[in-house]
Amino acid sequence: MSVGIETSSNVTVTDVVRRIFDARAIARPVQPHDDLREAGLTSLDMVSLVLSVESEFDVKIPERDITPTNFRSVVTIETLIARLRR
Amino acid sequence: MPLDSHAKKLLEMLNAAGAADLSRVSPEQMRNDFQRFATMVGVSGVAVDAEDRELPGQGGPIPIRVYTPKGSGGATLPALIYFHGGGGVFGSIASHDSFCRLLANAGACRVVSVGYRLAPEHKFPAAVGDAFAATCRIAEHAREFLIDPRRLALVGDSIGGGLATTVCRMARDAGSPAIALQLLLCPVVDLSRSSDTRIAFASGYFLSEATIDWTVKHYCAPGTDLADPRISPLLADDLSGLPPAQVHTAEFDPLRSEGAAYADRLQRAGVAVRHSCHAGMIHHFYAMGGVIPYARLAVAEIGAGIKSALG
Repeated sequence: MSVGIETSSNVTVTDVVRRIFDARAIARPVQPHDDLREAGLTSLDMVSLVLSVESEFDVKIPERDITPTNFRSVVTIETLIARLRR
Repeated sequence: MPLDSHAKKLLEMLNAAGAADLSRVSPEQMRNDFQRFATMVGVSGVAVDAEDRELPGQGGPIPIRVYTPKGSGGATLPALIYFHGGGGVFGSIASHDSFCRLLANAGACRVVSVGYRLAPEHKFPAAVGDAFAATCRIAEHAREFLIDPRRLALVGDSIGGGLATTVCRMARDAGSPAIALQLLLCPVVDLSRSSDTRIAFASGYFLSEATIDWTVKHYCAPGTDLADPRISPLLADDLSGLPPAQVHTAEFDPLRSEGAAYADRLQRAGVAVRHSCHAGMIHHFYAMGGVIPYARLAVAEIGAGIKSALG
């Protein structure tokens, strides 16, 4: 299950990912456990994703946490944000 | 020097997607991706006057965007003619808009960014033809553009750097136009072979060997001789009599060695050369001021070089 982390403006990780899907014209719905690379996200999309997560959720993601594992899916990103906020 | 920490973080983001299968990426997608990337990593909101125009070209009108620093509208200024990077396949006036704005301010000059034709729709040598035609046209009509033709520089990044120096050679051979400076940023000057840095930084350093292969396949028709000096200026027979050169390379750029070798060859041919290798930096860093703070310092240094050469 998605833990549904939100910003003060109620933006969720799913929203951030959907924005990138939209920019890339990826039509499929954003599912919490879907592998984002399999969904078609490229390396440039990953930059967009990391920068968007940092600005939307007001977290600084240390270099060591910018890994394929942490950015595999909506749920892994939510887990990362929750850990960084602790 | 190790990788700059901000450059390293950007590379971690790029690499978080794992190895890309470029064979599935169309030029159209690459163009869109690069445009979005350029906006993400560039400096936004740079105040400069900008005007879109067109120049006549062999294959139809060539779009240009003319940048002028605020407040110097009516003055005759030195100018840079700018050729963007992107392997001749992607990149555009739009993707390099922010960087050209920065250059206009840093160099206190006009910048004319040239939207030369891209491959695969228009394969090599279409880009070279457009770059030369645009340069001649701007030089011939310098007064109309409020440009001082004695203070005209050709500037390019990545493959645009290769185009800039190729046009310098064509202008030398044709006897005109006069070019006061060639400013080459992480230029592509040898696509005929893989240098030691192309091998050492083949993947994981933003510009990958796979991306270079992908662009070459689109840029050149099958059977094209990659040793053609319009593709690989490092292999030109004669580099003497070319305009003074300022070459900027980046320590962790696969193109570092060819850029350095080109600076050396120019120098040995009697050309005045200033070569700066930017420690800890990656390909295209100068246009990434939004995420790599050092880029702003580099732009200031590049601007000071332009001012000293074009005064």
